[in-house]
Amino acid sequence: MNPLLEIDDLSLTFRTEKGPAHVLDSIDLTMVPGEVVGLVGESGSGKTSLARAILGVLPGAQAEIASGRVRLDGIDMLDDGKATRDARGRLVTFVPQDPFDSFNPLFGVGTQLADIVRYRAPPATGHRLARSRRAREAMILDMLAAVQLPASRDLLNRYPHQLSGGQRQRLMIAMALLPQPRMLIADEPTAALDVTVQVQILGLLRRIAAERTLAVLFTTHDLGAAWEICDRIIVMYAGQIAEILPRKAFFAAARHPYTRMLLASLPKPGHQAVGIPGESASPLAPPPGCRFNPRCPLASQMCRTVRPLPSRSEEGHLLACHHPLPTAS
Amino acid sequence: MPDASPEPPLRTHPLLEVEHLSCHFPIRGLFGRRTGSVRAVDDVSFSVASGEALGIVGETGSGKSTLGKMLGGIIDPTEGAITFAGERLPSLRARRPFAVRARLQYAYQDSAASLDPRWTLRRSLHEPLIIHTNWPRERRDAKISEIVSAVGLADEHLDLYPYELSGGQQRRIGLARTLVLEPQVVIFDEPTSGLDVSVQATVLALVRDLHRTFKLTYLLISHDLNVVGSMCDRVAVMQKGRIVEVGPTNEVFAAPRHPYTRSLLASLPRIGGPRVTDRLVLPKEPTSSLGGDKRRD
Repeated sequence: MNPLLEIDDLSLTFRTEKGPAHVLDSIDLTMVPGEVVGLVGESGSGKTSLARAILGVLPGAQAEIASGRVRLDGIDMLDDGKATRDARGRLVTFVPQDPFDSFNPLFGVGTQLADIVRYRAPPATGHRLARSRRAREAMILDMLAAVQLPASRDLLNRYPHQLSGGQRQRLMIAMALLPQPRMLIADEPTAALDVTVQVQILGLLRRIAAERTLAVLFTTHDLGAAWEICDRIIVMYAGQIAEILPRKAFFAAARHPYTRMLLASLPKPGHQAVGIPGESASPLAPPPGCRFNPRCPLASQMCRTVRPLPSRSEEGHLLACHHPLPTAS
Repeated sequence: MPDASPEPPLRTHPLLEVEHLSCHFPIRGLFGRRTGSVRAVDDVSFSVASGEALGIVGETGSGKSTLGKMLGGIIDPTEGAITFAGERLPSLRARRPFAVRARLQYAYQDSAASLDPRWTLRRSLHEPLIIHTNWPRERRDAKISEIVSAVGLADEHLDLYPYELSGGQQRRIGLARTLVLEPQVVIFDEPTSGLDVSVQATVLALVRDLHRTFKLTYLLISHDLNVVGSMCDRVAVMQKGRIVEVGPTNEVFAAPRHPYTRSLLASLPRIGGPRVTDRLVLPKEPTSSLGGDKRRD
């Protein structure tokens, strides 16, 4: 299958008062349609910056692309031409972490969905008056059914504060799907939800991805959520990709020391996790070589000077480490 | 104990006992008339023995934070009694005695927000000691150094301001601030919400260490069943203001009796196991409940 998203050697720097912050360091990534990829890492690992680079919504004044390119369906997303502007919010859409902050509190949710249909969605096909209000409403009601909300006008007349967290997140997903995108970026979509609601939203996202062959990039620091929904998992540390591996391998055959330590930090009944000592590397002064070396128990002189390049260790398993752990744990 | 502490309670008495505790918030209608009430906590009873770790789990709106705040003396209960170390605590209108406030502490969810941004950490840590003790400065300094190293920070951190710390370090300072008075019981309200798993694990390991070394009794309020499972001897499950199940953690997790506990445990992602989303029949969102279900009477 042809890749939908191709990222080559992307390096991103933010200009800050304290000097340049090296947020992303030569990221390579491809995604095919219909694939759900999880982006896992601690805060400050560059997950959100990568998602924003794909969306083309980096803060223009501070962000500087040092190298690399991002191509989505053949369109250069770092460009500022018409093709790129048209692609944003149509070809690729975004589901935010907290839906409450993303709705306008002054308008009913129906109005906000209708605006998306009006300005972003392709015209409805098979309707006599494809651009009429009635056609728009039909599209919205279809979409509510798709995200398992009752397709009722009563719901559309409500304001965001009148809805529960799960309902709001479903509506956000509906809004993101209305432009009929090829790719969806979900930034911790379930972080603010209860466990019982979380599984429902995760199940919904996975089903939608399969039904619409939609590529989903799912950033999270919740490894349990990643296990539920992803086909492939990318582990990032301080702006570098540490390991890319299929879902099952992530939990059974991870070889990067960071991935292993992250897995060992998960709280489990009857198991006392210890965590990773030390602080995450600062993007202002990243350590040379492998950025994980100050916290890594296996770090050698080579790790402090030479950056490990991602290499393919097995099928679909990419690893950037000089001293990978053996598979059997 | 900063003050002369009373005799330790008899072993037969639980350290903290809660009987028929309720908290109802009024719903005001037109002209501020009371039109109903939300039963945030409804007739809750339990007890905590000395040295025990009790977990309280529940979803958003189950009343677990309200319960914690009533125990911490921040919200006044509508009904019921809290007995601490054999003494029945007065209601808030009569203000809690200082000695009780030092020994029964409530640790806020976001310790970063409860630190004064214009104060150095040293000043923030001195404050509880100034209020609760009449120690000279040197003794306070010594105590603060001790507690800061116990939570894994260096003395140099004391001259920083809260914004200069990472999230995990801020939680540690919050812990230090709670523990500097050597409380007997601490109520941790979501002590690790918003932290990365690696940092969460270090903060939780710290709480376990303190539990072991200082014989700290704590209540851990969390929505994360895995956290409670790894941290607590006993767990109480709350739903809609009531405790629906309480028991030893391993028993509740292995064989939950209440259907609500079962559904909570069933929605927990099990890494390495089958996907929960595969076997779950997804229920639709109810349309009738306006903004979640309020418990009215």
